[in-house]
Amino acid sequence: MKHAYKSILVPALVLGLLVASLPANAQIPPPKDPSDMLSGSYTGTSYSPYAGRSFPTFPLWGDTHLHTGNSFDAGAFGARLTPEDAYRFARGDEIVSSTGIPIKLSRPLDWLVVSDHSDNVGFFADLFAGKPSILSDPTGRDWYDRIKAGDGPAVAYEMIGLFANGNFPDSLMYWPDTPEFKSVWQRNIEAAEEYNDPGQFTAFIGYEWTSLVTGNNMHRVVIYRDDADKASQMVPYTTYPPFGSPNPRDLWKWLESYEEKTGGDVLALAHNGNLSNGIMFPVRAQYDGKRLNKEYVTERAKWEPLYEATQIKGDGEAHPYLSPDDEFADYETWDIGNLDTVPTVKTDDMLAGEYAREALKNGLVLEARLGTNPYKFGMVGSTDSHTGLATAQEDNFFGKHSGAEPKPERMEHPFLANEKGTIMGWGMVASGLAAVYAQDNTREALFDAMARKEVYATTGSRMMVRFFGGWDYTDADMASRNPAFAGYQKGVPMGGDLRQHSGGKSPTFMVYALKDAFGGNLDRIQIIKGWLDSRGNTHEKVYDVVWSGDRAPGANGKLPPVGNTVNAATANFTNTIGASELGTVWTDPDFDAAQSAFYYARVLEIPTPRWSTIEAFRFGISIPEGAPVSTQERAYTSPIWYTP
Amino acid sequence: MFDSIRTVMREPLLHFLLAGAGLFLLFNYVSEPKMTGDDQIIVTSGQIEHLVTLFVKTRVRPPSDAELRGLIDNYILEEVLYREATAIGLDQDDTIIRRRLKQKMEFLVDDFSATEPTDEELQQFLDADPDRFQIDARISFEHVYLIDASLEAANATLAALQKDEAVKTDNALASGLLPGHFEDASETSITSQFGGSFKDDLFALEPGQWTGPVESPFGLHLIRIDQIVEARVPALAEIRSVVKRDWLADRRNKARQVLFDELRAKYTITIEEYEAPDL
Repeated sequence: MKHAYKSILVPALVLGLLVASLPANAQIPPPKDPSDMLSGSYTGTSYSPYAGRSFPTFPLWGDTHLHTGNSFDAGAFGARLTPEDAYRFARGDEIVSSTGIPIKLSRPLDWLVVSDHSDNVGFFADLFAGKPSILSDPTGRDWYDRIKAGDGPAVAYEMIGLFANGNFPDSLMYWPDTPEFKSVWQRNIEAAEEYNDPGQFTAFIGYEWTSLVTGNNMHRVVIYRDDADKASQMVPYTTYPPFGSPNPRDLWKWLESYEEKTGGDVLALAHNGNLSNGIMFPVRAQYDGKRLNKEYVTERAKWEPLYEATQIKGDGEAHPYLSPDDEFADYETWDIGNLDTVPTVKTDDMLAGEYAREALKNGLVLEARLGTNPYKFGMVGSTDSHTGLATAQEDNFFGKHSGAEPKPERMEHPFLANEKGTIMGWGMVASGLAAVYAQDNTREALFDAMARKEVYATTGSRMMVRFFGGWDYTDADMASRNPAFAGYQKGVPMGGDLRQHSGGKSPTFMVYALKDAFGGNLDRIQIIKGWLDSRGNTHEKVYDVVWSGDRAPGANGKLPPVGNTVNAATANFTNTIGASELGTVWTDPDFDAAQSAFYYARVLEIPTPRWSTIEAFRFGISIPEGAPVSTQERAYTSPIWYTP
Repeated sequence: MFDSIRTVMREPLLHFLLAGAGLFLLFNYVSEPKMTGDDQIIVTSGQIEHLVTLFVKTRVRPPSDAELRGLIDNYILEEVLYREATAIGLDQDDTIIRRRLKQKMEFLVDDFSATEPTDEELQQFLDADPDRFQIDARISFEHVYLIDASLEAANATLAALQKDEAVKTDNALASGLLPGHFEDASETSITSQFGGSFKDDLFALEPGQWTGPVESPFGLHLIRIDQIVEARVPALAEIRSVVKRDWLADRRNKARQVLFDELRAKYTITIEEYEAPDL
């Protein structure tokens, strides 16, 4: 690769001179195919590596899941920021939080979905219902027409006069349904339209369908590819009968009818399986007792291409009970119960239906049984913050809801409690973010990248991660100045399926990561493999594939820890350990072509101060008992699947 | 600040706002006793139409007879429980209901305060705070990223590079995630990727010549700036929709503030002495 530039430079220059020295009308046959001149080890299609590039260079950072004061519960907790505030904050403006604290992001996000709860989004429409009864009254008709004609102030004075004298007609106890009175849904759509700035900042239209079955979380966020003209044709699906339903099958029907009616595009993604008490990822029966069938698995695969694997209410990638050999599985685990007022106690048998890695494994089982893998999802992180503030960085964390914004007492308030344990305020996780490989910062391009799962999750850090799978990546591909060329040409990016191949090869994976300029160095990259054996049992294995320093795996096969530079008293750390970038090409040493499998990368940072440590320092209080002093931020890529 | 409030106060719109909000309060006041004292529930055709409309908007089809009966039954149940609950005062001193009503008041103000601004108003708004509408400076540059290199090694590479462009490929270390060429990148995106101090150093360089090394959190970089486009404040015509959006938001906030001050002034407010406990 290194020599490729020089060797082609010569013929290119000679050719250039020839062209320049010949008369303008001379007929020089152009080379049949300019790419014929390029060396075999250079994987660009044109000499200019930037010409005709059809893949994204950088991930675009965002949050798929943010509530504002327009969400019923967020408002009740004291959030008063609007969707407008949320978008302004996300694109980098300094604003003031609901509790009066000035706040700004360390750097803007590229996109945001405001996903207020769909239940209760229509209250103004309700309040001002009853139009026909008003219009049938002559006075009402007159007022209505005049307000429509822009004579609102005079009408208002007139009404007040009637009130004051007790002469207001009984039949007119409703305000006319003028278009000026907007439902919350309309307000949220308008805010997204106003702040959507293609190329600079994308404001998605979206909502959360908040299904809670006896406290068991089955929430989904719905994201629109569309603009207001389509999105406003229907109102969001809710969870309370008779208008809505808490059953995901009904949500999928709603998504289908939305697309049919409007010609639009929507997708749904679930979150917090860790609070579902086992019903998020069913394997045998759904929560309502109905067995999983072909319809369930195809519909779920169709509508839910992503899963939110990490957020403030716990990290959901893996659980130590399910992955006992993975020393990093117990990361910010919330496993005492569900979301009931007094959480129903969690038992071990529920865990398999709750965590992303186990769901990816069980997806292989279901694919073998029912023909489609319902859990073939890409992974994102998001905050699910109810403050209107998408904050996931440890040193700028504004909490789950406005009652938990920074203040000296917030870490010691219980969040969830039952006889199995208590999750205190300090247990909130400053997580996560969604990274999307889209070529343009637009609703369409971002949505399409989400749909093809070219996305990854982080716990709040903005490390850049690439992950490709194919059959013949080499170290030379990795060493080239732009490995993504080879990445796309010889294989598939994260979220894809390994292409078919002939011959007894093992798959190769090219993975590389660059630290967040604002964060800690990188500790290691791991590849996590899950597979299905011939007896129908699932397995998993975590491989350390590249790491910083000259560490060597010990007798137990485990790589020693990277070390820890965090100073608890000053809430500081140094980047004297770890690496600023890591990358390698890894070949699966245990590949069996007859077994279906998935592979995803997990990238770990060196330990840095957890938000609770930083908070203790800033307020001059002690770090709460039980709270870890440091945290190892991480990224989870979407998997690449192999199907025999 | 006071000046701007006074300006808002003079506007007829404000009076309309006050009237609208006052009306809203009256509605609550007048209609409540009636509801609780009344043992009649009339489901008007208007309300049924509203239920049906909402159903159609959700499901894209009209409700069946059974579903319609369900909708109406549900409405009646809600009405009965609502009346009984308010009769025994369950709506009193409920934080959620209070905050919800507060939010409704704010929404009412917002709906009344939305009007179409003139170009003059927008121009004034733009001139008052040009920084807010400034378009980021942009930069195009080539760089060679030297991971773990000493300063001497970096300087040697720089010297070679200044003589011969081809050195670039030989000395650049593999960094798949940091492309060697940035085209028309904004100041903000450079800060996001490399941090603020690298951004400052980068924008201070002279275009045209290989130079450096410049330090980033990743290591040392040799840089050749191709072009820097200075930050600028665009003309109104170029960004009218953005200015209008912010103007409306500003107006909305001022209208809220003015209304709340005005309403607050109607009350005599006494705040009792309170001594904070030692923590």
